[in-house]
Amino acid sequence: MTIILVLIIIFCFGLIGFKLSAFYINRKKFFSSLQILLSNLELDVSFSQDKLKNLIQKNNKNLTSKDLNALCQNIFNLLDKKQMIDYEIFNDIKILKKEEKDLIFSFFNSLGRLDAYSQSKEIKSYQNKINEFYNEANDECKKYASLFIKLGIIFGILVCLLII
Amino acid sequence: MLQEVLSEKLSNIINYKIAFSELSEIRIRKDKPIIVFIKGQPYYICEKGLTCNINSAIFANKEMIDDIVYKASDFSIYSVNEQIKQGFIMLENGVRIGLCGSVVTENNQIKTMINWTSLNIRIPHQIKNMSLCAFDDIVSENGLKNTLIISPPGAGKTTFLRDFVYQLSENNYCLNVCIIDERGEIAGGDNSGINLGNFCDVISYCTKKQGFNQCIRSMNPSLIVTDEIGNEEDCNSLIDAMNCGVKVIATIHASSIEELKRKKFFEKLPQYYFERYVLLSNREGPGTYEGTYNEKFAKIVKW
Repeated sequence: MTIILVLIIIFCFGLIGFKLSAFYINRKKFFSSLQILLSNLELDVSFSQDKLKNLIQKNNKNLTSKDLNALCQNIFNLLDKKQMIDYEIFNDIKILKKEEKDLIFSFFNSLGRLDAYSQSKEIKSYQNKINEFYNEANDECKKYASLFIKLGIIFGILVCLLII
Repeated sequence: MLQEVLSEKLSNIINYKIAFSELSEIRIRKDKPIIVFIKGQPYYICEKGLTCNINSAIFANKEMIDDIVYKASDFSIYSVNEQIKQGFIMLENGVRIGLCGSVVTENNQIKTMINWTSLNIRIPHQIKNMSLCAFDDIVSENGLKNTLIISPPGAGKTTFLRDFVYQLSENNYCLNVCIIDERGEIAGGDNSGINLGNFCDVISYCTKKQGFNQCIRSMNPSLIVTDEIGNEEDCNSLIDAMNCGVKVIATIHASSIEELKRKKFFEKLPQYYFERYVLLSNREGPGTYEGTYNEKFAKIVKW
């Protein structure tokens, strides 16, 4: 009985740790997916030159980050209603800092306003900035994601020791 | 579609305070009052609808113009850049937005247009029976006659063409008609609701040369209809088609037969290629029929 209780406590604290680390994992996933999205958009704008709405919908299917999925869906919904992009696109996204939101907003707001050649160049310039965010998120993920899981398990063990 | 492109305020005024069916043009110029043309007459737009008083008129600004162009391109300027290079954007329902701004060139080629300063939104109309005044002059027992529709800009050439094609089908002339619609104006795109009859094929957004070649090779047309011939290449395409035994009806900008004759590229056309000339004007509003002329430019008198 005690062993089961110990396991449950450790599992619960481990889960809390995992949930906290998920924030950093999701941030890394978000920026990694955003990098892929930007590369795809750059190619599509240069070659297929399809409407932005269709490009976002098409590329959204292949993204692994749920947060970026939600962001793209919000953008698609606005474009579909012929409305300008605003900060409401970040409504369901809690993992981004203000400066990151500002840059991503400025990127999506600038999309579709230029001819294909200039648009492609502009996407490339944003790619550099997104790469910086990705590197930062990756470093944070390496540092904190495993730390929170480990801390969760250690806290679990400590609580077990205190109880027993 | 047009309402989606305009700002909410402008859209509400046009929807609820102006007879949209009578609206033919909206002129939007940076820092100038917005002007609409109804039955050929200009009016300012104000909060209550139309006005002749400039003090109550609504003024356009750069942001308004940018937003309209951006929305008209479906938030994708790059996807309509070929149209922008030619100075317009077509909406799905055949509405054409003419653009003015700074043209960006590279190696003597137009690359794009930026800093838009003026928009001319033209709303297509289908005026039933408009072409009947000249129908019997163009269509006879011996078949169709190669015809040139002449009018100044905005005087109803395209509307005439549209109705003529419709009337052919309506009057049981079972002829395969192919429309070379360079700017998507005649047929007006997929969702225009324009009825061109049951014998009509449309090739859109290509040059006349490409369109004529493609259509003669693949569609076996009896009649080719096209808008606004404007240079020697267009004329050559027309001649090639006529030499293939296909009848052609085209339009051209001119306000009189004399003006037409003065056009350089027209001088080079072999004589009598066109058997009929239909002259339209704005004298009593767009689409005023001024008469039909034969191949020797003699007016056909109707009894």
